[in-house]
Amino acid sequence: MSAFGVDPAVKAALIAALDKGEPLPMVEPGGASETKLTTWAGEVGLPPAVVLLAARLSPSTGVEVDPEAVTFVRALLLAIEPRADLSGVAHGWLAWSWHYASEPLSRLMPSTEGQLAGAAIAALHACVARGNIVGRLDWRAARTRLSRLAAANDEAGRAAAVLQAGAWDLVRAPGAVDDALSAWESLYRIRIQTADGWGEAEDAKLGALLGEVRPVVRERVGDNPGRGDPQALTVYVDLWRREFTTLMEQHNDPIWDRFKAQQQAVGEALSRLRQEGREALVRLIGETPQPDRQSADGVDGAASHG
Amino acid sequence: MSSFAQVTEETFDAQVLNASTPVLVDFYADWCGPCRAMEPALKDVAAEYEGEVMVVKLNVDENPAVQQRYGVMGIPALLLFDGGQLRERIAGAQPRSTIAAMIEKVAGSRA
Repeated sequence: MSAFGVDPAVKAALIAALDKGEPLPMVEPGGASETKLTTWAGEVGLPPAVVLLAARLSPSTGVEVDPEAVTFVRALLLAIEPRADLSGVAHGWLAWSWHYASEPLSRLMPSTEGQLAGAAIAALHACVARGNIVGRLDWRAARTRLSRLAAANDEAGRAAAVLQAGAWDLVRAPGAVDDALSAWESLYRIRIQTADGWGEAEDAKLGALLGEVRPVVRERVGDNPGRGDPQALTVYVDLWRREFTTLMEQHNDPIWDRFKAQQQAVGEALSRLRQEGREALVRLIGETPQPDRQSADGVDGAASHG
Repeated sequence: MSSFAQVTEETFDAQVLNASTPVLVDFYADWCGPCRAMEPALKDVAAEYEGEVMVVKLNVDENPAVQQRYGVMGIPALLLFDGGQLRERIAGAQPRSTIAAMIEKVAGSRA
């Protein structure tokens, strides 16, 4: 198993870089790509899953570095005990999301099947967080057990999808944390749409409108540039928003007011989740057992223990 | 750059339809952002199912006939073949668990 540990000099250099306003990949506007984040994580000795989680929990819209993101990443770096093995932290965070979040996933999957399957996955995460190893076939079986539940297009189904998305060995597949957070967005969207009575007819209208916007945007700025080019991504997203809003206003259908309200509600729910998730991540990093001083300092064990 | 084997119109039958294991084909293009974004997920899934499922890529710009043959309207698109037959398909960038579930469905029916 990989043991990730940040060198004290690297930790100091990263904090100094943040203080000088250098945009570390974790605070990159628009969100750095998964490849960039995992490569950088390897260079500085942080577990890629922790870096990805931190980046996706950071507020990172717009083209400027968000000061709130800098504050968070600085707190995260300060919480790291040099050379501590943080490879279980992201698993601990996913276990937290089942048990201890203010709205834990366990509350969203009330069926017996959901409770059992979800608790089994949370137990696997907790097991790795404590420093144990879970085999990939165990993860695979846990994911498969959730397949039927995760196929349902309701709140419980989306909660199952969050759990299923994160149920991987995060050293081998760190991007699974990214998948889990994306699934969470889908959960909030389903919840808010359901509460609003948004159905197939509204979906069909939305699909038609998107179909009108897509070729206009493509003709002007090309296809979605994806993460990794914040300037291009911002131009792309802004144009989408502008064209979409213009068409909504032209169509003058009351469902577009509902759609706008839903978008805002999803954004607010995600913002709350990220805020709470950031606090939990920093706390979990701070709670990581301190490295054995013998291995941390390279001093003789007998001498250090007197 | 991708580390996956590339298939073409010329090699598709031999590498995909006549393969002894299921083959997951990623229909992509170099200019497609979501295709690039899905690449790490595809690598993780390929590693997870190494020896059980082969993952290959097909560039739709260079191989339009295969795209047309299977009615692929948008990319990225993942098509899973087994025993010369198209068994499952899914459109758009997908998380690891969804790709894995698609594979499990076919692998499960094989056992």
